[in-house]
Amino acid sequence: MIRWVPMRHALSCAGALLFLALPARAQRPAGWPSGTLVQATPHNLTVPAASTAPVMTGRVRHWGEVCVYCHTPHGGPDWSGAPRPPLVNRTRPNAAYRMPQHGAQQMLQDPSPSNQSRVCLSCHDGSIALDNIVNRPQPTNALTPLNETIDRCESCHKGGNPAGGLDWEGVWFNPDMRDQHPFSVVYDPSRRPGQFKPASGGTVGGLPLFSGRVECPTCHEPHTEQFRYFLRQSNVGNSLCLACHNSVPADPVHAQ
Amino acid sequence: MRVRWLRSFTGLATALAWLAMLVTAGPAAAQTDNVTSSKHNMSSRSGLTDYGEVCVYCHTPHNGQTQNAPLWNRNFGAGPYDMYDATYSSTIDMTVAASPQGVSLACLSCHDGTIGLDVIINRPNADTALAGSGNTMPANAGQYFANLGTDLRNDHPISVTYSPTDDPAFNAASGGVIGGSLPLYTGRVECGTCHNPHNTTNTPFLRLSNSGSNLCTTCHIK
Repeated sequence: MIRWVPMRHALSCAGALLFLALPARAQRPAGWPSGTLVQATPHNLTVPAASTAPVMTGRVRHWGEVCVYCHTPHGGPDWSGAPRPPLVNRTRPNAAYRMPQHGAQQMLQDPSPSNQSRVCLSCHDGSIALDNIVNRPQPTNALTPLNETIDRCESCHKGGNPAGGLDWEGVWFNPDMRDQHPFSVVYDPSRRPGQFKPASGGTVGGLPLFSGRVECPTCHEPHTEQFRYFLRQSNVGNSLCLACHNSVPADPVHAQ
Repeated sequence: MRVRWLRSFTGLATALAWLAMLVTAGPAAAQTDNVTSSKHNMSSRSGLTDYGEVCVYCHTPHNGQTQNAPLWNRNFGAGPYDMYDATYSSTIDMTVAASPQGVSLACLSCHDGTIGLDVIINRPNADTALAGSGNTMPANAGQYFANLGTDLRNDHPISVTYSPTDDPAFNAASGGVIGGSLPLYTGRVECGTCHNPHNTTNTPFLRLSNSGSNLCTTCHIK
């Protein structure tokens, strides 16, 4: 379902970050690995795969390895278009994407997501099941995916009393992304004079650009959840937004 | 008298049994190579010439190749190979050689799909009646992807000079070995870093089990 947000300002990043009042990282339920590595994050799909809760049975295949849900060391699928994401083990998604569209946006927008962001969308757009990998590890390669997509996860893991205490509202990105923060957009501050900080050496404010573009991994580091939502930096006081943007409008939503 | 002797005997036997268990159930018991019962035993592979020996498909005791692998009994692929390097990847920070080096060339002499699996330099007993079939590795299909081809850009980087200085998201090597188990070759990650071609205890020929991605995280800090 599309939520149209009236555009008071070109900035929309804070619209996706309404949860600024929450602690730096969500509490992990008992049994989830601790630490700062990917195994301690929701991107460790072996945890839901191993869950003994009756409602979780038959939802996520346990492939025996953590990395394999996204990566494979050999013979990965051929994603057309450069750059190719690192040894990805998922099919390139090709949903009917609508790219972000904001009235005041002036920067050049690619017509469809680049590969760097499509990797994320290969789970997060709901078109490919989370355990639907291309190359299976040899010990488990006789098994088949169980084929739950991420919208199914969000159907229970959200709301005032989310299942298992895991609130993952917003994890599913409907392919109609007109109301999302711009991505696959060429970062060019000269297009909006005074509004954006300069890039230097392929980064802006410590955040990486990809072929000069803002992509999902510009703000998100998928292996580390030091900050909630895999952000590369804290967004307390909108500091992540301000890594690129020069100002945040003073309204109740954006100025938290 | 006899009962007391029996009691002390069984007590001693039990103690010895426990001691034996403790001694043999050590941390990482050395894996025994098992190439004869692995896919690298090509003497019984259909479609290939049976030379009557296991090792000869790769090794020869005399007049073998002098480089890349010990007593190597095969020619090396001519390439050219496409490497997983910085011209291809935006995320790799270590230096990758322009072409495969060292032991990786030995692996690729079969696994690049260009040379017949039974095309060897020295045949056993110089038996000229035995000729290799010339059949190369089968094309990849389904969950079989052992034929790497010459485009290595969809494979884990090889011939990479391992340097956590270049990328701190990697564990340090010590004495040319990472994690006590994964050897570097002249400081580089090669096929043999992750794979032991003679041992299929951890399929496929992994030096360590990759359960829980343990092999990956021996090097990668992720």
